[in-house]
Amino acid sequence: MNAPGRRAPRKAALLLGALALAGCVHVQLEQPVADFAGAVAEARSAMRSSLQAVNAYERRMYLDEALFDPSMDIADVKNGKRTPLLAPVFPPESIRARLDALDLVGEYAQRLQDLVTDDAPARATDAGAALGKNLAGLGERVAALSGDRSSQGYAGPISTAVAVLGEMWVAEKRDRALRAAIERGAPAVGRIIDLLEQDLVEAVRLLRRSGERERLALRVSWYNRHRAKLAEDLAARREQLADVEAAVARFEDAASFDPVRITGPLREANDALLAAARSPRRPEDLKQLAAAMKALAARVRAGAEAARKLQDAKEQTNAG
Amino acid sequence: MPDDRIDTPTLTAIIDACFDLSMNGDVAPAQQDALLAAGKRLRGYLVNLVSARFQARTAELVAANAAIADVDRTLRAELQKVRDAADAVKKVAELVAKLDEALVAASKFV
Repeated sequence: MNAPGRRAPRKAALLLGALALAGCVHVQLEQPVADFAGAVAEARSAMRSSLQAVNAYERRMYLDEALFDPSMDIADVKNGKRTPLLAPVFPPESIRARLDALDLVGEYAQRLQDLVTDDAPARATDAGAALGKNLAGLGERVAALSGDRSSQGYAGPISTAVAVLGEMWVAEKRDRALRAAIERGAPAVGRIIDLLEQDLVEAVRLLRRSGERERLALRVSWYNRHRAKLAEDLAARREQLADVEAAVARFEDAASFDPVRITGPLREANDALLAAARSPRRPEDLKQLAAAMKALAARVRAGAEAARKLQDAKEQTNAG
Repeated sequence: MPDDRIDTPTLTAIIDACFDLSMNGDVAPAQQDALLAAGKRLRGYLVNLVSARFQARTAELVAANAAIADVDRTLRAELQKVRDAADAVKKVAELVAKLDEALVAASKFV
């Protein structure tokens, strides 16, 4: 028969094993939250530049019409209404609300990441190790004073067990805070994604698509109408045709831009995070979440890249 | 309030068709010009419609912003609580060390 003093360290070792397994749950949630924050940052930068450009784009459209229509006079006010020359088509305060929404969703993702990556549980482990050591020391002191030596040898297991318990206590607090935050934040983030998607589809995709088609049509019409005058001037014709070619490239970029390629995976990532917060957190759930989140983050990056291409095309046109 | 009965993708498809036909060499030049003018006019209408809807959605977006800002404030507070919890473990360790010291001091008088 084993003495109580020998059985206890074995029990402590088993307890430690169980505690260490429980602790793994928190580690596995770090990557999905980091991927979510990364996807939000990518989407945010692409959506921000697209929204900021809407008024400048409509001004360019207005001036482009004037370029190809000599009968059109440009003015700040026409028929009692302000034109895109100086008046923004989309009110700056409305655009500000969209940019604020993007910043707030970014902040939310960052706070979630702060919460999962904060070193508080690690600090709790260190503090817990010190506590365990001090408790064991205190126990030995009491044993020495009382004359009972049976507790000697507990110092190591107690120290480790208290360290793990300290970490678990803090990690559990963090876990509950994380679940509550995602539970409350996900519906608001979902609504913001829905609204931004409508804005980007209408104010960017549809207006850019029709705008670039109009700019191409204006150039084609102008060239066909004036080509007789350009018959002897090869350089001028080359310049006009290069302008048509650039318009075709812009039109193709605008036609391929689809904001749903950014908002769609972002919405799925937000939903996946909410599902994870509500799940029993079995290791297989977390493994699936981590894989799904990584794939979604990659899709957001691809969509954001297409949006950047649209902006680059615009900038090249400006430079020209 | 903007007219919700108008489907903007369908309107855009009509505008696209006008511009496409204005570039179609099989269409008579006069008709090409008329289609180009119609496309421009319809796009102007689309811009006004989209702008009005954009403004109409702003109030809802401001409300959603307030909700997420509230969550952000809570998250900051929760993060502080988690940090406080780690500090609490440290304080207990310090307390036990002090108890030990007190016990050492007390044992000298036993």
